[in-house]
Formats: sequence, structure tokens, C-alpha cells
Amino acid sequence: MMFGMKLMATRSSVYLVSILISLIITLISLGYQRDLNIVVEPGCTFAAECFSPSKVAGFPFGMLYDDPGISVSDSIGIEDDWRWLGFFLNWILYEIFTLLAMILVKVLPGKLLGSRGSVGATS
Amino acid sequence: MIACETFWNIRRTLGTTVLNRSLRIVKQAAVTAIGGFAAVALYATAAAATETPPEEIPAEEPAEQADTEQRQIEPVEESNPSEPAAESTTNSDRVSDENQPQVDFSASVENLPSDQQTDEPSESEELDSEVTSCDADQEQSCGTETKQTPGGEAPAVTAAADGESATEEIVEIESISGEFNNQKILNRDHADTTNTVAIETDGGYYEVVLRSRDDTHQPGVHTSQTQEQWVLDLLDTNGSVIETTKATTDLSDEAIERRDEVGTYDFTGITAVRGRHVRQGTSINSIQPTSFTLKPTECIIDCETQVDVNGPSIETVLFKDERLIGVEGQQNTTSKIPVDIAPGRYEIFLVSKDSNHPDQASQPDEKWRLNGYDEAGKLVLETSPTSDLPDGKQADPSYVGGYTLTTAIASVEGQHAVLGGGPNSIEPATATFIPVDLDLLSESIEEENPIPRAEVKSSTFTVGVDGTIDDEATLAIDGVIPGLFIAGSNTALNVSEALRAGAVAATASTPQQVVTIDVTEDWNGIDRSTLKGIVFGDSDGRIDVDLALSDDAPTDGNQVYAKIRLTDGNGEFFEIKNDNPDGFFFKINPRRSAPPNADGNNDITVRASACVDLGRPRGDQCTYQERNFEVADRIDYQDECANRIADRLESGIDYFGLSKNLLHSTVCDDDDLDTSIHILIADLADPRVDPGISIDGAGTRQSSYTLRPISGHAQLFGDTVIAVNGNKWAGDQGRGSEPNDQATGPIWTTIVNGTTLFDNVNSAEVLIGFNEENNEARFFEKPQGPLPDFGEHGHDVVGSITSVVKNNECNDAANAENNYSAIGLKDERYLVMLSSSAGEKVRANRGLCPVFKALGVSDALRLDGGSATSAYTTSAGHLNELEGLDDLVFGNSRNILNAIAVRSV
Repeated sequence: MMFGMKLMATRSSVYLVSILISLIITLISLGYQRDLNIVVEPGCTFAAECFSPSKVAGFPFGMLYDDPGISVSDSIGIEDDWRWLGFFLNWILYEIFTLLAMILVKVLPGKLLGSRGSVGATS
Repeated sequence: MIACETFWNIRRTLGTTVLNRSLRIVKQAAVTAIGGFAAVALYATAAAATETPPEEIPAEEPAEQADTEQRQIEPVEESNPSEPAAESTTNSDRVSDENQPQVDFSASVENLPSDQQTDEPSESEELDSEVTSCDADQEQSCGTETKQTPGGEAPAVTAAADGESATEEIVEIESISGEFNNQKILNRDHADTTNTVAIETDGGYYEVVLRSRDDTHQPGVHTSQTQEQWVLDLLDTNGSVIETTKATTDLSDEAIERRDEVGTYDFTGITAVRGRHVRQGTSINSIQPTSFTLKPTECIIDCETQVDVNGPSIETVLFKDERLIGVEGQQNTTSKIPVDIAPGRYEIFLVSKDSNHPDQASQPDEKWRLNGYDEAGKLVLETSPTSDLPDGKQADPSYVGGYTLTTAIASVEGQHAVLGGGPNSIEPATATFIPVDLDLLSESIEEENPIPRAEVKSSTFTVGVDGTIDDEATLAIDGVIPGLFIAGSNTALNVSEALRAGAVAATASTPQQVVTIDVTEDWNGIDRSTLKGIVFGDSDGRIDVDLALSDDAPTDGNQVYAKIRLTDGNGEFFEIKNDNPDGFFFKINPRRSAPPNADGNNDITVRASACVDLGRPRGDQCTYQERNFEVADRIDYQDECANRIADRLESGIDYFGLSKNLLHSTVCDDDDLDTSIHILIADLADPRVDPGISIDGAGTRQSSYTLRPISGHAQLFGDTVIAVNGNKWAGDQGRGSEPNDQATGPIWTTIVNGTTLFDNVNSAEVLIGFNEENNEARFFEKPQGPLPDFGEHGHDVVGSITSVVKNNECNDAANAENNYSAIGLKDERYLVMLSSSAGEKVRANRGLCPVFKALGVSDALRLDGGSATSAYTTSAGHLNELEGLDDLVFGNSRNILNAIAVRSV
């Protein structure tokens, strides 16, 4: 029983840590900014909304898009267009990678040590 | 150039008389503040005056020859004794002063130090004897003129009485001169200072001229001597230094003697002077102070400006010789100089210098600006930058604009105006504050324009797009400026007749069908209830129901009520009961509430029932009438919202007394448009209303522009009454400290004072252009490509890639939700500015457009948005300060590039 609770607590901690790590990575990915070509929507005039954003931040999915109707130009800031979909997709993606990495970190050394131990025992 | 443009603006606005007075103020500033070279430049700008550069005398020439040369140069300024002195004045002075009161000549003379029988002047007096005269028309012929006095004769100047007959009078203003012992200072065996020379003055202001020499400057001897500079200490009776003059210029190796005009100083209480080596630098050489001359300037100031210079009016700040580099991490500001500048309005002149300015090499961006701080060290003044110091000049004055100080300035500093991008260094020399004599200006305005000055008062309120007015909004009501009305005074809402007409136009509806309802419920031979009134369908597609219900048998104890039901080809879509005996009034847009009929027509049937509840077992008994309407096509909800707001505005003074539960309907509320918007309106046709675009540089193209908050733009623009943020820029985000936030410029079309700061050829744009008189504006649109021909409406132009309303049609493409400001025109005369309230996001098509339409604005464009959204009134300050995350990042007011502002003149 105790072992089960401890295991659950451990797993919860792992998930919590991985969620935090992936969130941080997601936010850090805002530092990755790339240019998009300005595209004027056919038949749409006299509205900034007719234009596609010229810059987007976030990787691999764009999370923050430069609002073409708001200063400053060609620069990303908090006043620009935040896309929750891109944010969550990135977060989920990084969460998966983080969990995988943590599993590998936890499992691999044990495997390696275990194989080493068996070698030592036979000698 | 800036000065020229400013003078032109002043001329245009205030007329010739004021301009000429301004010119004299400029001249006074030049003389007072910056001595010879600044006076030359400013006076040349203002009134094409003469030039008196300091001369250096070649070492090869004996001193006597040098004196001769001095005399040969100075006669350029002489007035011919045989000619009336008035001819030395400009025609403009003469014309503008025709109406000035004529001053008795003798009285003028009495005002001057009139020791006409002077002793034979000493050599130095002979060189510099300044003869200043005032004739009957003081302003015309008063001036300082250098006279040669051959043979020791008293200098003579001819003065003309009444500008007609030339009456010869000999008037002399005594200059005070003194000599030092020709001793070297700051040499190995010498002290830093000369002997002290006692002087006796009448107090007041004197121009100081210093002479210095170095006999070792002979050919081949000490060919490289630097920092041979000295100052004059002004001492009181206790021997304390009260003030120190500006330093002389280093005596060049080729000269043995030099004459420097070092400025004008107050000699009140000064009883002695002495020379003192500046002792600055690493390679200091000795110098021989020769003499000093003090020239009284009282007459010049009295005659030319009518301003008492001894009063606290003109303030001049002398900077220490500090070089501003313009590169981050290096010295970009001077040390702070303590000052005492009282609140008021000032014209500010800055003088730049660069003693190492090469003649040939091009050195751009040698600009600086003046920052002023109050007692608490808070930045309260930031001027526009000076113009670039012209190549080939070592000093140059700049007029940087008029500023209104609301608090006293306790210290000032110079700051390089260009950071980064490889600017060149510059040295602030002086800053001069010239108070604008408001009484004088208002007198002039009254002379030429019978309309009195507008009072700077304003008010504001917020209105929701559903027509609700936020009673909790700031009602910063000081009063009303005729011609500049900001809807929202609780005395009359200040919706002018013209604006009201616009609102009426928006609500005007020609009833297509009007029918009467007169139905009575008759039960058992007794009239029980009656419903009377009208129902009409208007051209906007609305059905207006205005019925009154009466209880015909009040004593029977039965409840009466009315019932309205609307049906169309799809069946019943609306029914409402009302038992209010006071009336039954509502408007409804049936095509908003229901889809078009299945059969494609717009027929609506209205059934109006008069009812009575007879209780069990009879129950409700009703009698009805039906009326059919063919309503107009489905109307946009924007129009409906516009109508509703217009209704509210139109209700005027009674609005605040209206019941809160008056029909709000569902027209706007269900579109999540319950936002608040600040409305600011100006009547451009009123001569006291002066719109424009506030931007760093005031219409000069620059490599960078300082961003500032909306209140900073209000200060920069001067006398600003209302303002909203301008259009989009590139560069810094605007979240740093104000002077360091630099934009590379606007990226939507912007023309300021006739100068195109940016021509957006890459996008289709809508634009609003103002004419030079600023009394008319016009809406333009252009496809991608070059600018259209603005005609006379190209003096100030603001462009945007987003329209809000065009030809009275809302722009449905402008549906992004954010904070925005927008400006529009009604009848090319009323400038209507909207700005969403703090934290209240709005869509241009749903939120801003209905308000514009309610106000009769047919064309409007959207300005910058997000955290740049800002609105300002003079009484309430920044109306929509940032909140939440924006506040965290930008502070309560983001620095922005430009603002659309209106000032009261």
C-alpha cells in the first residue's frame, strides 16, 4: 500500500515536473521568430485584417503573430495576436518529448548499470 | 529652417503685428542669451540684421593697426548722421508699429544715460563706444551702433522726431571700460587672476566685451599654445564672485590679440571685476587679459520689445563645455544646470556648438534637445531637437518651439538627440527661455481678429455602443470651448446644433407606413381596456410601436394589459405583453430578430391587442387589430446601434434624467458590443481650433524619432486640448524611458507641415488630409502605389490601411478585436476622434463604426491600436491609461510615435 502511494506520488511529481519543463520550453520557443510573407487577401482592402501577419513567434507552431494593424511593425510584442492553439500544440509536443526524455534518463542508466553488474558477477 | 517655419506659422496664425513682436523677442533673446554669434544667426533669420563676428588680429600687425582695422570694419553698422535714424529700421517694423503710441522724444532721451558731454574717450572707449539712440518712435530707431569718434569728438547720432523732420541730437550711452595690468595669468610665476578693477554701474544688464593678448605669439615663438582662455568674475562689495562670464575663445597662434563678446549679464550689485584663467584642459597656456568693456543694453530691450529684461522674464542657461557623444555607454547628457523657470509659456532657443567642426567633412546628426526637471527631479519638459549643426559652422542657434510649462523647472540638461547610428558629437552652448507675453498676444489678436481667445477647457465622457453612457465616467468639465465640443457635459451634453443635426440625420427615418391602432376590449357591453396609438415602419427597416393603454373600467378590479405580436411568413417571432398604463413604446428591427420570410418578401404583420383579465372562469379576453407592413431590407446592426446612440445623444440635457430601464432592446447587447468609447469632437471651421500631428521634429524628416506618451505629445504640440494616438510606426516598442525610445518612423503615410515623413506605396490606404489653414479636412483613399493628389489638403495627412466607415458603410473586414483609436470627418468640417476605453476591446466594424455613424461621420479610419491606444484631454489628462499586463510592460502610458491633436489658439 505504502509502496503504491509512494509510486503514485513519484509519478505525479514526474508529471508535474515535466509539465513545468515543457511549459518553460514552450515559452522559450517564443524566442524563435520567423518572417512570413505579407499576403493581401483578394478583394479585401482598407483593413489590416486583409494582411497576413509578417512575423510569427513560437516553434514549431506559431503562437504569437505580428498584428499588422498595431505598432510596432515587423516586431513581436505582447500587444500582438496570441494564438492559443499554437501554444497548446507546442506545449503538448514538448510535454511528450520531456516525458520521453525523463523516462530515458531514468531507465537507461539502470539498464546500463544492470548489464554492467551482471558482467561483474559472472567474472 | 525650423525657426523660419515657426515664424511663418506664427505669422499665419497671429498676423503681422504679433510676428514682428515675436521677431523682436527673438532678437532680444539672441542678444541677451548668446552673445554675438547667436545674435547674428537669429537676427539674420528674423530680421536680416547685421553681423559682428569676433575678429582676430594678425600677429604681424601692430596693435594700432589692428585698432584701425577694427574701425574699418565697424562702420558697416554705422548710420549716416545725415540721414534720419528711422531709416535704419526695417519697413516691416515701421508698418507694424504705425499704430503704436508715439513717445515723446525728450522723454526717450531722459530714459537713457544721457551724459552727452562726455570726457574724451579713452582708446578702448574709442574702439567700442556704443551709441544707442531712441527717436520719437522708439521701436523704429533704437539700436546699438558703433561709432568712430575721430578727434575725440563726442559721438553723434541723428534721431528723428515723429519720423519726419530730422532733429540732430547727440545722445550717448556710456560704456564702462577698464584695463588690467596686461599681466599674464596662469604662467609659471603668475597667479590665476588679474588685479581687481572697481567699476561703477547703474545696475541692469550690460553686454561684456573682453580683450586679450599674448605678446609671445610672435612668428616662430610658441607656435602651439592652447587653452589661452579667461573669464571675467563679477564681484560684489564683499569681493564675492556673484557671476562669471562665459570664457573667451582660445587665442589662436596666428594672432596676438583678440576681442570676444561673451554675453549679457546683470550687473546689479556688482562693484568690481577681475580676470581669471579658466584653467581647464591638459595643455594650458598663459594669457594676458587686456581690458573689458561693458555696454548697457537697457535701451535696446525697452525700445525693441517693451519687455523688462530685469524682470523674471527671459532666462538663459549657459552650459558648461560638455561634449555629447550620441553613443550608448558614453556621455550623452550634460550635467544638470540649476535654473528657476517659472510656469508659463515660453519660446525656447537652443544654441549648439562644436569647436572642432571641420570645414569640409560632413557631420550629420549633431543635434541635442533640452530636458527640464522639476524640484522633485521629474522630467517635465523635453524639447524638440535642435537642427543639425551646419557643416562649416562652429555654432548655430535653433528655435525648438513653444512650450507651456505647468510646473516650475528647477534644473535642465542637454541630451544628444540621436542615439546609435553613428551620430556626431555636439556641445550644448546655451538655452534661452523667452516668455510669451500672453497679454501682448491677446491684444494683438483682438486688434486683428475680434474673436477672443478660446478658453482651454474640455470635458469627456464614455458612451457604450448600445447607447448607454457611463455615469461613473470622468466628467472633467471645466467649461466649453465654442467650436470645440466634447460630448458629455452634464449641463447640456455639449452636443452642438451641428452635431445634433448629424445625430438627427442618422436617426431620420421617413415612415413608410403609419397606421393607427384604436382597439377596445368590450366585454359584456362594457368597455374594459383600450389600446391607442400608432405603429409605423421606417426606411431603416424598423417597426416603431407607440401605444397607450387605458383601463376603461378601473372600478371593476380587473387587470388590463396590451399585447403586441409580430408574425411573418415564417410564423410568429415576437410577442410582448405590457401592463404599464403609462405607455407601450418600443422599436424593433424584425429582420434582425428573424430571418427573411420563406417566401422571400418582407411582410410583417403586427397584431395589437387590448386585453382584460377577467379571472376565472372567463379568463383573458382580448380584442385585436392587425396591420401589415412591408419593412425595408434587413438593416445592419451597426446602423441600429448608431441610431440608438444618436437617440441618446439627441436626448441631450434630459439624458441623465431618463429612466435606466428605458427600452434597451436586444439590438446591440446581444452582439457583445457593450464597450465604452471616448468621443472627442472639434469644429475645424472655428478659427480657434487648430488641429495637427504631433511628432518629434515637428515635420522634419529624421533618421529617428523620439517616442513619447500621449501627454508628452500634448505638451510637444502645445496648448493641446484633445488628442488621440496616431498611426503605426517601426522601431522601439515604446516601453523604455521616454528619451531613449526611438522609432525609425511611421510606416503608414504621414505628412506633417507639408513634409512627407513616409509615403506608403506598398498598401492601399485611406487618409485624412488637412489644409494649411487647418480649417478643413478631407477623406482620401488610394490603391497600392503613389499618393493621390491631396490638393490643398496635403499640409497634414495621416494614413491608415484600415477604414472604419467609408461612404457611410461600415468596413466589415475590420473585425479584429482590440483597443483602437480612430478619427473621422463629418462634412469635412468636424473632426471626430474615438478611442476605446481602458481594457475595453472593440471591433472597428461593430464598435467604432456605429458610433461614427451616430455622429454623422461618413468616413473614418482606424489608427494604431492595442496598448498604443490613447486619448487625452487637457483637463482629464490621459483618459485610457493602460491596465493589467499592458501596464506591467509599458507602464500606464505607452510611448507612441505621433498623435492627432487639437489645440486652442
